Amino acid sequence: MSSLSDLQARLQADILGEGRDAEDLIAPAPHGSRASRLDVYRRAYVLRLTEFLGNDYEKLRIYLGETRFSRMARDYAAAHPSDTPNARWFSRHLPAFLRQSKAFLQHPEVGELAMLEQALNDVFDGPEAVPTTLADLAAIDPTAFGNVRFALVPACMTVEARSNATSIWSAIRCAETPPAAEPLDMPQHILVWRQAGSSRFRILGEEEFMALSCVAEGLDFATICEMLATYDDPETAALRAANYLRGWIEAEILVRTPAAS
Amino acid sequence: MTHHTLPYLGFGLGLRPQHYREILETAPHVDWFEVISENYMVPGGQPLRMLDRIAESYPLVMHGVSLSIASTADLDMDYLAQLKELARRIEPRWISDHLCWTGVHGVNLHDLLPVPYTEEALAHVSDRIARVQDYLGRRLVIENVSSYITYECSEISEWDFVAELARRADCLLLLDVNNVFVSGMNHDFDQRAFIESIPVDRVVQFHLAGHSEGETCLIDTHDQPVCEEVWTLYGKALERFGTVSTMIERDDNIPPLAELVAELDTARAIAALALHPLERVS
Repeated sequence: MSSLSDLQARLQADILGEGRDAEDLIAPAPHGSRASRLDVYRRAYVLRLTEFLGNDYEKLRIYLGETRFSRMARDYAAAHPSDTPNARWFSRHLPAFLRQSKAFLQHPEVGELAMLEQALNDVFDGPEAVPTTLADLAAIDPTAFGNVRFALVPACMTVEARSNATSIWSAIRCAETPPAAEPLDMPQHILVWRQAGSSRFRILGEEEFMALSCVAEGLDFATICEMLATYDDPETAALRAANYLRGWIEAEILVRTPAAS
Repeated sequence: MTHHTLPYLGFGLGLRPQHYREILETAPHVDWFEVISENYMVPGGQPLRMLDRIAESYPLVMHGVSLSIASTADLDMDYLAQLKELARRIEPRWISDHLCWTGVHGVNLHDLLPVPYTEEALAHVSDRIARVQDYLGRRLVIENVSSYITYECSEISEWDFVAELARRADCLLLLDVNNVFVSGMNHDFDQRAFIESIPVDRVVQFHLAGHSEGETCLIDTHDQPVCEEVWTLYGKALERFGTVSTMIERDDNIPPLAELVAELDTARAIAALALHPLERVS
């Protein structure tokens, strides 16, 4: 190992807290000890990563409070040292980390709040697409409409919550005291998407979630109508499907895909 | 001999999301913007849209924090590909990053760690700069960092290292005046000697910024206005390097845009006095 690579490995290990082994690399400082100078880098590492997490998970930071958030951030940084040159992606493991963390096993809303914030972040700067418009829809030959297929734009996803994490998120956003965490009777399907440059979310009903899942799977419109007819009143299935379609198009989350040959 | 043909851009600011709308709506008196490259290495969305719009009205310069040019880890070709793609998109006047390393063994510490000033490091870093320059098809602009430690193994001064690095790698330099001040105070060296040792024809940009007092040294925090001592050092830099594109960095405790524009006017005034002293009298 060269002296440069050895120096870098030892200093990095010291900053990561894997061993206080770097002091003899450091020249005496005119003011303060070698240790005090190294402390600048040691402290900055933890503070900076905590700040990255705080930027990505603002609501979670408020929900946990500064002390618990900082402790959680230290634990996360120890479990997942940054492996990316872009700070934007450092926090990507946080929802999974929180779900598995012993400290939050009794608080599933914590991981789900993080999951929701991550989804909002991911659609915010997710890939671009040109969404289908109502004008595009009007141009489709009515006799061919049954064969039409759509896909979801890349900056759109659904996530599932089993706690009232969305209510907690909304209360924090309004600077209100969040409700007590509680489990839901039924899992909640949350649509998260980008519209006019901003991230949004809303809770989907069971039928709409099923229909949107069919769209994502690439089923054509006629098949989706048939699925809705089996779910509820068959007489109004086509109307319900058309209403969902209009809502998704107005939300700018669909792109047209070629009909299957 | 002049080592570059890069344009003089005037007085710029760091582009920060808090100011996007005001920049687009009021066209403030800022000649150019410096963008943090990594902030725009994302798939899409509002940040890139805003960047595209601002690029239509202002010259841009890309400034990275994760090139890790002095690391002994392999060059991150995926990172470089994203850097190149961003440069293709916004056509920056130049691309800069720091004389530092940010991690090894697959870890990124997200800090600008100083280099030991040794022959080994000089050979290593100059070789990597040359490889990156070849890949990007343009010359890099390398910035001196603020540091809080120096290494026992260093053989030469930071300024001699920087000057020799620029010569060997044939790269250009971004002289961060605040970093010279901070490191000078922290390591007890003569900041003017630093400035006097940097080759005039390599410097294409100045950085100005604020710093804070830590327990035993100054910290490069970019969270407050440029202090008087750094303005004085800026005047000295102008006397040596002449007309050089100048920008003010602010990354924390970010004030309203008007405050930064006013601070930039201070830079303009100091430059006018330093570069055209006779006009002051007439």
